Amino acid sequence: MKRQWAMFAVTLLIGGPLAAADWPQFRGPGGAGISTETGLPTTWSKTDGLRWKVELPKGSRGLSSPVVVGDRIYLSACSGAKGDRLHVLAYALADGKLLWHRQLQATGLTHCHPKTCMAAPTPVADASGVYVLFATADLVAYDQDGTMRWYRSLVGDYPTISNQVGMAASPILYKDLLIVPMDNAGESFLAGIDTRYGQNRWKVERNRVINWTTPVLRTVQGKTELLFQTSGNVTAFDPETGRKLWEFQGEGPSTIPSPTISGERVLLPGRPLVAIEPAKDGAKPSVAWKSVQMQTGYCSPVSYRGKVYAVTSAGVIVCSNESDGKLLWQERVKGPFAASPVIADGLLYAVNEKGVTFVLNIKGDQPELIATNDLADEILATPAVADGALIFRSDTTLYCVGKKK
Amino acid sequence: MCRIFLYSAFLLTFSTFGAFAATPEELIQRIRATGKEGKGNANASVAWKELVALGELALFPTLTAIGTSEPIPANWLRSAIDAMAQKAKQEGKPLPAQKLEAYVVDRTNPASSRRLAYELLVSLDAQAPDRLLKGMLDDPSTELRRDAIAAMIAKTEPLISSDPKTAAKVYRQLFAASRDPDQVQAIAKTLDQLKVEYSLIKHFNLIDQWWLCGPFESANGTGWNRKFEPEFKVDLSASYEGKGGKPISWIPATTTDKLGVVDLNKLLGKHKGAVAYAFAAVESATEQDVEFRVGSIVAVKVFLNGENLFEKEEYHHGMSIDQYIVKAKLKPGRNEILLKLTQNEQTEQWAQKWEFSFRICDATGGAVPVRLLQEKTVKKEGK
Repeated sequence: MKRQWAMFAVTLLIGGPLAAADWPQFRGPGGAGISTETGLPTTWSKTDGLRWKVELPKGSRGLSSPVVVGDRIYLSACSGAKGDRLHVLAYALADGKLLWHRQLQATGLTHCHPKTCMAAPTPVADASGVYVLFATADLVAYDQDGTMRWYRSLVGDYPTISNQVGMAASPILYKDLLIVPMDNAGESFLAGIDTRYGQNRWKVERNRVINWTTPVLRTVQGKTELLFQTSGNVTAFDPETGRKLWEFQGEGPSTIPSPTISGERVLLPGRPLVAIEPAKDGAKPSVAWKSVQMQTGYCSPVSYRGKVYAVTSAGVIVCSNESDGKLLWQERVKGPFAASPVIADGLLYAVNEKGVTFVLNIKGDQPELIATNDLADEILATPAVADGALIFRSDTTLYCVGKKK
Repeated sequence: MCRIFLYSAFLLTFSTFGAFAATPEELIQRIRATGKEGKGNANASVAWKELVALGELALFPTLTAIGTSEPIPANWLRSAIDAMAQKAKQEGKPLPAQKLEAYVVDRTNPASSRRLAYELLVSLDAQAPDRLLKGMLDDPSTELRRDAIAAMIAKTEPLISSDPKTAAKVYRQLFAASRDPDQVQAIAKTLDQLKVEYSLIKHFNLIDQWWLCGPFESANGTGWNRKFEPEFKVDLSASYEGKGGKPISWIPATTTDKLGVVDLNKLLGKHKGAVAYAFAAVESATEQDVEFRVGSIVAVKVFLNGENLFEKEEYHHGMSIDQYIVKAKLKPGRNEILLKLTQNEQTEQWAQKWEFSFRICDATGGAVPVRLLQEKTVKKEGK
């Protein structure tokens, strides 16, 4: 258990200094889906229990999660008849005041499945500002006050890039590198892009297969690995150089939910969920366990205090033992779910596509469903957790759920 | 002495800054030096800050530069406009509404720049849409035109039940003016309700008559890069060795789909790992810049007069009208259009379609004057 917490702490530090309450990327610190926040709200509705809510740009859409660093929330959105107007917004965490709003014109194709849109990848932020990737492969960096630092049209750079189902994999930060996943039907790659001027430090070729997973970082014995999952495969890279370190191939890993670090193991969601144990010498990883009960559609699993939690497509929250994958309990709630669950202070929050959040107390051996909170709004994005609040976004509204200050 | 020194220092500083203060045009040029893979980002970020700091002085040159720049610098400039607007608001110095309105109504300014100017204007003057949109039904900016049509629809909707004759007249005009496929089809639904006849094929200038040839062999995706005979020369009377060694030849085909979708599975038979070609010839009275707007559920290449203008190798990730926009220049007289449509070998039920659509239009999506050469002419000229 101690080792697991140490791993989590190391993961938090990989991307640079962050305040305790920050939620800087897809699924929060380290992409773990876990916050160290306490005293979070458990009950709310569309009208009660909100610290604030603000309307998003008229006619805009977005499946990307809000991210939080310091006193501000960053968000992406898209609008227009073709979804080709791209928005980056910054709001004050305290009161939801719009601090700045920048727009771009999409340079890539905007054709996609109607459920998604061009604002599907989640931005990543640090103290210096925010980096935003859109499903059009437009990539931009602004400082915390909205000053443009750099811009890349990745389709301009690599014209065959295309995923007309709609891209959603999110970039992450490693030191002074922005890690950009770009598995698609055209030229596919994983790239380390320098955060200062947006130029490639390294770029490795990938198979031309569409993929929506977000990479994660894993540090073992002081050495950091960058893990990137796709169908039937997860590959570890040296994040400094892009050099391939090891690879796992086998039944399980899918192209939608993202992998999760669980102690020294890696949870590869898919059909089934597979927990692998990478070898210390770079040899082929071994399979620790597999779980058909924990196979998910869109949602990524969470590893928390020795247990693994997943939300299935059918709307069942499943808990298994982290050590052997043994099923501990299942709680049927109402789906469908697009957002991944998040956990903080012994509470699991799972929001379904209709905006209903199920709050489970998971401190004991069995779960206790302590609240069902309805925002009556379509929520497809994983919420952020920061400053004693949960931050949800729909197409139309950004909600900060928490006590008023 | 001290005062003289300070004064000299002030003059020197002032003149130095004055001499080196960049103009909006110079800063825009520095931003225009950005290019592929982050080229010029470092210089552009400095120029961007200076440009924003200039405020109103840089507003109109920046707006115009957006519409006349390549996509990468245009996006730098697009964000600069937002920052300028924010700065003006924070400093309590509103942007010049009158000048913005004059810029919007001047159709010699680039369409995308006018649209941004319009949005800035609306943020300052909520009455601007009422004043301006009524004159924008034929605007070269498709976004302005769309808003103008939407405003007119909102105004006309009540007449559908109370005065259907007048409504029909207005909706006919709106149908002719509309460009975005979703808006066109929404208006078409109302025309149905009003029992007004229309043709989406004509409105979109979709080609609904083709010569088709296939299937050619493309096992393991080999057909995508292989040049079969039609890519060298289209001869509508020729026969070729097709997939599995079977002889194939060109057949005429007309689609009755209201959006011009050509279903190759129906017309050529269901084949996987196969290539089909679609051919049409159009006559243009003049040389003209046009857009080919293509929809394809499978990998597609577009050729004009033997030149490969476009290719996209993506399979079964959806299809829609205007999915791909290809810039083309028609020559006066006969122009030959050839499409290569490569089906892959996926076995999933959702990966079986083999279809496409194609239209010729201007930059707004409006029909351009071309004549589809009919079967007899094509046959004669193809021999």
